[in-house]
Amino acid sequence: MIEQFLQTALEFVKEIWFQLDSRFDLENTEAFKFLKPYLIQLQDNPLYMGISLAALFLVPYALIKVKSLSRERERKLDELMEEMEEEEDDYDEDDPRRLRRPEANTDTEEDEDTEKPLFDNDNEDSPSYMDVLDEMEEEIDSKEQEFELEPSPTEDKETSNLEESTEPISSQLAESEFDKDLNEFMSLEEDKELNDIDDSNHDQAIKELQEDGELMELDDPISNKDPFDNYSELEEDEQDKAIKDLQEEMERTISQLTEQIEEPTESHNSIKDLSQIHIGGDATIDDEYNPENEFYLEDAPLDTENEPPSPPEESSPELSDSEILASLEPELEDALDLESRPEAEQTEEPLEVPKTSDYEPELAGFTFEAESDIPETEPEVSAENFTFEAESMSFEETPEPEVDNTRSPMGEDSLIDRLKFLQTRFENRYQPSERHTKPAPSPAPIEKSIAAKDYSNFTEPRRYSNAPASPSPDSKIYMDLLESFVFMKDQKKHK
Amino acid sequence: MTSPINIIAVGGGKGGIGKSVICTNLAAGMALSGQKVILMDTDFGASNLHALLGIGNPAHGFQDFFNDKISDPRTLLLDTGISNLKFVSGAGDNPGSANIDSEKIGDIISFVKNLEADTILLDLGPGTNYNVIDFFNISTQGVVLTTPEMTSIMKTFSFIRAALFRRISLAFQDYPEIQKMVDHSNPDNANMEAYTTGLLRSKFQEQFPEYSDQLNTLINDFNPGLVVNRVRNRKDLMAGDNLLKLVKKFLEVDVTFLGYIIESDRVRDSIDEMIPFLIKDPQSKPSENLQQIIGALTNTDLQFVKRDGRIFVSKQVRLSSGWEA
Repeated sequence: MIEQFLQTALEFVKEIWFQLDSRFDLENTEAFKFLKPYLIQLQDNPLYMGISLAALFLVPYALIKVKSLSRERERKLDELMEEMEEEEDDYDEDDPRRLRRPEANTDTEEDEDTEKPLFDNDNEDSPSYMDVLDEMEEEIDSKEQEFELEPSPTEDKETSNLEESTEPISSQLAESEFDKDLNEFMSLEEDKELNDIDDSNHDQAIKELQEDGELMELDDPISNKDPFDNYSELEEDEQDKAIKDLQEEMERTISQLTEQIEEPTESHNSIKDLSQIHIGGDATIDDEYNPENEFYLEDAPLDTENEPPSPPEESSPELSDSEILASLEPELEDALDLESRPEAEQTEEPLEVPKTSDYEPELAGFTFEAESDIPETEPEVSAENFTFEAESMSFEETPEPEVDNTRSPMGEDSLIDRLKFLQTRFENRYQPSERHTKPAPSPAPIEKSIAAKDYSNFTEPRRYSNAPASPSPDSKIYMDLLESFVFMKDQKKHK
Repeated sequence: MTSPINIIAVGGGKGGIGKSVICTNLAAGMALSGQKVILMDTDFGASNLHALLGIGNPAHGFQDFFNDKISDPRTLLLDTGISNLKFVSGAGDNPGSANIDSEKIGDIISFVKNLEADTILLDLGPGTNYNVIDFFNISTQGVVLTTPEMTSIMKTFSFIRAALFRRISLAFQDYPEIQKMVDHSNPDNANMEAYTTGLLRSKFQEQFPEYSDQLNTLINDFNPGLVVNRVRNRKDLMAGDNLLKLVKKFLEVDVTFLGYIIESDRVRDSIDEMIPFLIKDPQSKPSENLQQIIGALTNTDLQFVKRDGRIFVSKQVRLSSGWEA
């Protein structure tokens, strides 16, 4: 059997050689002539043959192995270096990520990050929003301590490093995701501001608001912490009251912003749009407007800048609510309710009660965006634009609600109901004022409105393209058309 | 007694549809198949056949005929380099030479009819003016050319109708009342109500019943052939079929579909190279299409093969008559 097998293998090799030789004329090549005596020796001596075969396979394998090992070491070294640098480098005071920094876990392996979207990450993300909450901070601190202990830069064993790296990586991943969302939000805000604001007056107002917001940014994160922390402890009545107060403040700020930035009519439209999109606000924003809130108006931009993660929510009021929710969410990690947005809004609102200024700045920031849309002359168009912005915001927010779902306070149900009620009121307001029936909070209605706008824009081109469609030569239409071209209008006797 | 000359006029209402190219290749193919062919450029005022044949500065042309510079009209026949093919150029035409008076046209027609050849191919100009239509009507086999575009279909229909009505007009020259119905060249003295053969027949039935039979004969004898040029797909062929339906519906004329020529860069290249594509590449698709058309016109099955720069022709004569083939 073995002989037969060897025989066939030998024949196979011979065949391959003959084919190659016939095609490439290998025997006549200098290289083959040079190697021929050695090949003959190899053929005669089985020891040489075995050595040559082993060298043929083992040498490349060894090279690859060595390269991979060296590469792995370099990677680990780079990770350690990055970790060291990150620890050394302090975030800017303005950067809200600074609050999340204490976790500062070293490893940053994206691959492992994807593998570990654990609750730890979510918790960390939410805390980033809710640095204010003490409970969350405690939990986070405990986790951080664990992480720090584990990820401590140990260069002992690869396996141990990998295990350690996974956890710190997960924490870093959470941070990176948060940072990513934050950057996106920041960029989105900037883009919106740049794109939407056309009038010089609006630009000036926006600049002022931005400046104020920048000034407030440094203080905001700290100020937010305390009220949010107390939120979970508040009773339902107090929370409701807080929500009311917050909404009132939101409305005031919105109205003030609208007055400052735009004309009364335009501001109304914009405000209505905002109210449509946002869930948390009370009945009528315009009615509740108070000139006193100029202070809030100033604060508003600060909040927007300080709380970039929250912006993902749809409209300015919603965004503020979302931020509040985000802050509350870390506390409510264990909560079960699915309606993340309403919950978040409710939670945020009670938090705002202690420091409405924080919320108002956020609202102002969002309202600011909305107003940037408002500047457009046509009321309907502005509304559409606003919805469009709200949609973009909602897209960003969508991930946040998911995080929020994990946590819910004990008295959330009542707050949720209240928020739902408020949302319905906003929707009702939105419907009469604006065009379509569906309110902003859910992304679907926004999409519909946008789609309708797109259709209106593209109707003419489509018609234009459809009109010249030539009839098929084998159709009666073609013949009729041909006859119409041949004969004049009064020449119809032939028919 | 010699057999009558076969005069084939290639026309079409629209310009730029390939009349000259197809006419040149038809003449070359017929000449290569053994017939003595004379190709005439009757597009006075815008002649270009000599360019398609690569004949620069032709020695003579129809202008000499008009200027009475030649004593023997046969000197107009130029050698083309293709065996059995002679050529009468329209080069040298001057501005306004397209507006030749009817007398000159008559002279040319008599000149054409007196030539000694098996086949005379007339390349007509565009439009439906009488100088063009009259040449078409002297042909024994008229060929109308069209392209699939609707504009070309329309023009070709108009060309066929103009040729038919002109034929009827010439047949009833001595009947002014009939002229009013069929000759609309003078709108003030024309009866514009008869713009289809159906209406014309009814008018004849009402006013000139005695000439109805003659009218019917003229209409029935009018059987131009149709060639669809620059066909890209089956849809384009349907356009040609629509023309046949249109002519049948409003003119009650049976147009014979002779064939089609596909759209090909070879045709364009042959124009640039001043060599008929049938000679340049007899086995190309356009050449095959053209051979089928020649076969339909001459009642033969032709096959051209080019080997070593020489063209060989296999020819089989059909037993049935040409037009019915």
